Amino acid sequence: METAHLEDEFVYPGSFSCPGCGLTIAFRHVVKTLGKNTVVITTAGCGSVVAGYYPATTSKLPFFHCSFGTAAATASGLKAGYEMLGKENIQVLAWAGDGGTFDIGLQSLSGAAERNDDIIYVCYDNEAYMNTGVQRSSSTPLGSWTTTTPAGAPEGRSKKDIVGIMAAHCIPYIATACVSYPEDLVAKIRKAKKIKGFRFIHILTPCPTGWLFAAKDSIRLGRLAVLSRVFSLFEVFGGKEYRLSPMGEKIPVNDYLSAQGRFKTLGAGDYPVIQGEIDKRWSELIALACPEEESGS
Amino acid sequence: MIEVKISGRGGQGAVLASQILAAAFFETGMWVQSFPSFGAERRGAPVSAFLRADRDEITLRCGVQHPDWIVLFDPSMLDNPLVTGGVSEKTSIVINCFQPISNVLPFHYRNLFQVDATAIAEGLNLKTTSFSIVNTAMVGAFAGASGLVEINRLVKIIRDLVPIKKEENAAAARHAYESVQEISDD
Amino acid sequence: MTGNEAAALAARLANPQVVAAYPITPQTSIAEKLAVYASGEKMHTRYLKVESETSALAACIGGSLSGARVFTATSSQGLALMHELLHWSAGARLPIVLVNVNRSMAAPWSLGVDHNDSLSQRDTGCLQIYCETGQEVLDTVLIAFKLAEAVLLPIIVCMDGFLLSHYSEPVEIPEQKEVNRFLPHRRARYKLDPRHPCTFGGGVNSEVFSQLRQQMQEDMDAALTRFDSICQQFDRQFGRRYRQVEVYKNGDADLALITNGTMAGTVKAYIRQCGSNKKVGLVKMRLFRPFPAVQLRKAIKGFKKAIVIDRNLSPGSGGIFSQEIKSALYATDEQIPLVSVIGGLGGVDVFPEHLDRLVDRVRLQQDTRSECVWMEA
Repeated sequence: METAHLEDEFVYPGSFSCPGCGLTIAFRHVVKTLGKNTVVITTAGCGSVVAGYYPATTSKLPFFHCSFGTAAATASGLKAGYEMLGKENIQVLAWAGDGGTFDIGLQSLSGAAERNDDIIYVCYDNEAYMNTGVQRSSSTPLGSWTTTTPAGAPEGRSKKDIVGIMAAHCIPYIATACVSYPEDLVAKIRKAKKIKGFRFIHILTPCPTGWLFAAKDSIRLGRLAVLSRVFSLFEVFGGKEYRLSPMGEKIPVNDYLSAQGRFKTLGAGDYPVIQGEIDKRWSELIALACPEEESGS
Repeated sequence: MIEVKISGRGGQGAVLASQILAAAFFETGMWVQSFPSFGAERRGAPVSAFLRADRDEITLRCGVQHPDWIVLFDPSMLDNPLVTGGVSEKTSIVINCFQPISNVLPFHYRNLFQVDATAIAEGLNLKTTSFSIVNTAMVGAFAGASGLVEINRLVKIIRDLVPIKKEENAAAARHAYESVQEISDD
Repeated sequence: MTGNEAAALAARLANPQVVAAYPITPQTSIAEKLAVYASGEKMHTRYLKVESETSALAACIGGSLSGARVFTATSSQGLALMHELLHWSAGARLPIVLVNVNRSMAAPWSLGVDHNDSLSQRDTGCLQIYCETGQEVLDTVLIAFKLAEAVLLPIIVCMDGFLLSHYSEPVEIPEQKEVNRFLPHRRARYKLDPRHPCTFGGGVNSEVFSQLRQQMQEDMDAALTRFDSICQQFDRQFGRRYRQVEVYKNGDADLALITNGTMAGTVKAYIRQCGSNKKVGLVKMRLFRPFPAVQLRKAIKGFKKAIVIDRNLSPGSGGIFSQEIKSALYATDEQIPLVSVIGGLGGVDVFPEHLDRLVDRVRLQQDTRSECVWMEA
């Protein structure tokens, strides 16, 4: 694997994150791959707070904090300005969490995607409104505890299919990635960097604080998520062509769920339901990726 | 100050008529103000456009309450108080009608002029599937009835502002200018 | 041309690199006209046809951060959707120019003009300038770009929906090269630039926040003088002089009618009509933010009583201009009896006869109470 590009870091050592935070790992790899000629727009959420308080900042790149829900629109306007000023080579990165992407930011995300604005939109997904104390978002998976889906009334809805929504916009490039698979993540960012138009990257960023596991296990949790196909790694080109990324052999979802405190209240009857849902989504994904073949694993 | 109200049905071109007249007054060195009535506009619903013209700058900003002139594209609108409300003893009316209008109208007015703008428009093939396009004829009739606008100037402005069938529209204005007639009381 | 056409033309002459807009009655013809300009040779701009007003202002914020000049326009509900970002733009010290075509706020739906939409934004840190005529709209947009870029605060240029946006009247068009001389390219001191990376807008502690707001207030104060000097420059180049507050009266007028927007035009027409018989004068408020207290007190000198006509209402309190005017005159030599009148809400027409009856009524009144009076239909 190439290592030359890893020499330059675009984050300063230290951030305001919790120990074991997945999103800071993701941010580090993303900006390192995108390089110096990049400007970051971030919206409310952990990603904004971990960047630091005045007068400190974790970012070596130009960085702007925008209002909640407007990451895509702000990034679109910024890129338009650069293009009109003859600086079209500047990459504009919109960096938003699942709340700012799936929920309050969905409208401006859809607008920017529909216009095919030339920005890279990265959603770091820790599956709840973590910054405000772990409230559910439409990214929170079925059965999960959060403060607004407490014990006795855990999350009753499945995770919103954000990739399906983005694919419907027929944008040039979509990729899912996980911080536990850095080579795959870097390769996808590198690919995205070369493409013009709207690019959407969905990164699973495990959160020890909200998912209730030990900080040292973040990378392991990410691997379990991918291996169990709770979070599959793949790319979508032009909204139509699906390509699976290498993931290793599929494991039962129980291995993943039982490693986290947020799924502690699941009963014996819940596991088959969740497994069934994961299996169904996985076979649908295979069908999209290999339309001529019947099955795979 | 002169205040003119132009009333037609949505789609008949009342607003364009007011813009043509505004341009004509403006070219003579007058200050003009023109604006449409506001509200939901649909084909066939009554639509009015207004025009003010004065030697000095017009600073007034409100609707026209008592127009000096009303230009009506459609005789059936005489029944509509939205259209005829505001008519007073100082109001002159120019109306598109093919039959002689009874000179007994249910309100006071100053004088009444009539022209068969529909026939003029149809003779020049100025029509859509819904309406005859009488607006340029009516503008010509207004010029003839009021003497406030010179016909050659009007015809030139019509050629500039009207998007299609420029010559036919110009001819309609001239024809109506010549054939508009005052209806006297006896 | 109409007020909307004047606004679109001014935006074209100012040459913003980025325009973002979402249609709403009665702003729509601005959005449409800009699309025509943007597709042609005369305007070199990227026009983002955004999917909501929130995104329109968000895109302007982004565009402004690149160092580009940006522009947007909206009305009522759309301006309300921008509320959070108006605070944001001001706090981020971005010189965004926004034309607001005033329209009454739902519920229920209403298309007519009043000023609650823009006045609801008075605490956001944006400047507010009210226009009476199409000429003022064109000129004020150009002045606003220059002023915003000097003071680094957003400016909302207001025009009355329908009464100004859709009224067609003579407007003198300045030449492009003269506009370029008045308003050269923006030179952004603070922007997002990979060559000089920095972070804007991260969390601050209380003391820093308070200092930033104090700085904003000081810059608002300085904006008053800046407005005057820019208007002087405009006058030298284009022969039209604008002031924070303007007075229009016959010699011995002792009753002031204070108002803003197109209502001022109707007041002027009324004053001309009644000559010196009624001894009334107009005090026209052009600037609202920053509030022109000093110029207002100067304008009031010589009047013994005032009627403030508010085309707005802060329910539970009263007319908004009236409150701010009373506050500016309080405990000064210019504190005269003041009657607060609400008129023209929802676009209700105000005719010279209404003004005449109002003036007569106020003359007869012995005392002035503090509650507001409703203009009679």
